[in-house]
Amino acid sequence: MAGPPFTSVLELREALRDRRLRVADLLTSTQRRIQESEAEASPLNAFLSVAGDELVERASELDLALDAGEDVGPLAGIPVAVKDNICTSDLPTTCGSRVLGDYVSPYEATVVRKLRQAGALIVGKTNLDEFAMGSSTENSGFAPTRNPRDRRRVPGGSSGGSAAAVAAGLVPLALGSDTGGSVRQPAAFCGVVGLKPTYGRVSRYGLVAFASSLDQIGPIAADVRDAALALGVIAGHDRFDSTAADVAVPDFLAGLEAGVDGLVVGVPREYFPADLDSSIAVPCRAAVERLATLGAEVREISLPHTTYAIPAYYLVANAEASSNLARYDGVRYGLRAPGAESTLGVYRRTRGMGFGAEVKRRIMLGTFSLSAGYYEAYYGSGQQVRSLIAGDFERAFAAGVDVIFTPTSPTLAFELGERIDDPIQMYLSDLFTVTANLARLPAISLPIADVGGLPVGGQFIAGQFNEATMLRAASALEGSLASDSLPSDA
Amino acid sequence: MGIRRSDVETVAGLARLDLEADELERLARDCASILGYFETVSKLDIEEGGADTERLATPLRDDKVGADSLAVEIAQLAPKWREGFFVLPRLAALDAEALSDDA
Repeated sequence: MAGPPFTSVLELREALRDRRLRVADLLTSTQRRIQESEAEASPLNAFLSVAGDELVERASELDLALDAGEDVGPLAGIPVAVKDNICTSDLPTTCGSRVLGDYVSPYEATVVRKLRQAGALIVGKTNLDEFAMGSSTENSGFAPTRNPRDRRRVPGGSSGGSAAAVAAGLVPLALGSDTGGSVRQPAAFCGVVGLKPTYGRVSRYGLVAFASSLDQIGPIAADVRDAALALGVIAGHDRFDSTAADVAVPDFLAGLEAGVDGLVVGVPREYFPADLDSSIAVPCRAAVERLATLGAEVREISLPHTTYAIPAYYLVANAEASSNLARYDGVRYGLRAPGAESTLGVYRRTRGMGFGAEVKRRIMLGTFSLSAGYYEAYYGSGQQVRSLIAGDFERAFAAGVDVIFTPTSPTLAFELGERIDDPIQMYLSDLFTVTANLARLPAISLPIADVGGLPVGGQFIAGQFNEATMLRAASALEGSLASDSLPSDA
Repeated sequence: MGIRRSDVETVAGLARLDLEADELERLARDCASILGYFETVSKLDIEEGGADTERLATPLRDDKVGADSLAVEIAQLAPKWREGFFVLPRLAALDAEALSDDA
């Protein structure tokens, strides 16, 4: 497979505006490259559906407008992939689940509408863990996605298809959803940038719900600047989602080059435990030193309730999931199991047939923790601990910390099949990412090193709606690392 | 914590999930170990920690009646729609004679 025809959205946008590249040609080459990636001996399995001729007319319209020098939007002609739990009316929305099958939504998600209005071409829907439940994309009801950096390894999850598509150069930009790290962890595993906005920064209208109080849509891109550009396109209030906050959306590109001089970077000791894998710890500590060199004031901090984050997250997320997934009953969507002798039988048989093992496990855990006699001990405790974790962050930011730096994942990308039969080990993959969801904070993962050919991700977390400072810090670190070659075999 | 097969069957009933025998066995094991792990939260003194779930209350829009609360007409969302009603598929327990052939 030939290398990608771009390194970034902004570079591609310039080529399209200068007419060195035509939208129609870019579309054709993108579609060809996606097809090639699926036809290889070890297929990437990044896409579940790909748009065909229906985009040709739109590409021609954009070419005509660009020929005339018209401003047709910040993403005019840019091919974008969308995770398959975000509704589109021209392609199926399967959530990676047999229970939805070839379901096509009658309406589009707000983020999809905004992307199209910005001129983007939605070229396909990407693979994911079923209903976004997983950390490896092995729970897809169709096929596991492979990591483009090493096809024996997982791309992370649940937005593994989106991360793999960007990392393989199939598209320069993709959307994922992040409930406990599902944008950031696959971005780290695949060596790209993944951004989870503040809860409420981006409308969830048209995002198929997993855990409604934690879900948030975010971009996956080749670099921080592209992620900032994409965030600016999809962010903003939406009357169709009451949790989409009515707060101003700044120009995220404007302050990107301001550097970290004078910023206080908090480094929480709980994210650097003594037994942290050295392939993660060494480059992350080097990144902290780099930030200090660039002028940041590095301050060790404590977020003492981090230890309880994984159980709190899974108690809350599974409870919400068991409620949200009750709607898949064989009546309204997709699969309907044949042969049932009662209405209840239709529900039970359809759900038993349609859901995969991990989704069933989480529905069971969530139903258990919401059931009479267990509610306070499980779901109630999870919510209480969640508030303590949010309080830890509030105190750190109130004490003057501007951004927090941590590893994104406690490990490098692991091998396919390595953890699939050990749910607790799989859940621990999310150790450093779930806290931002629990506390509703923005966070971003960017590649900071390569170890043995596998990327290492570093994560910045900021206060609510302070994505601008977070992006500024991430851009400074990215720029500094790019100015010398990435450290290898740390 | 100990979870019996009968507990799993009860919860599966609440969750409206048909499970095969081997799934029941595996889920009994998984739920026991995972819920046991989750019980680490019970070691925490929540009162002393100052837990306040109000800080994470879900924002709600004003409860005002408006003319158009959906992005598209509700009829457009229905695979089948007749005389202002959704037409549902015929379900096994219902009398086939009571429903039209459209269902």
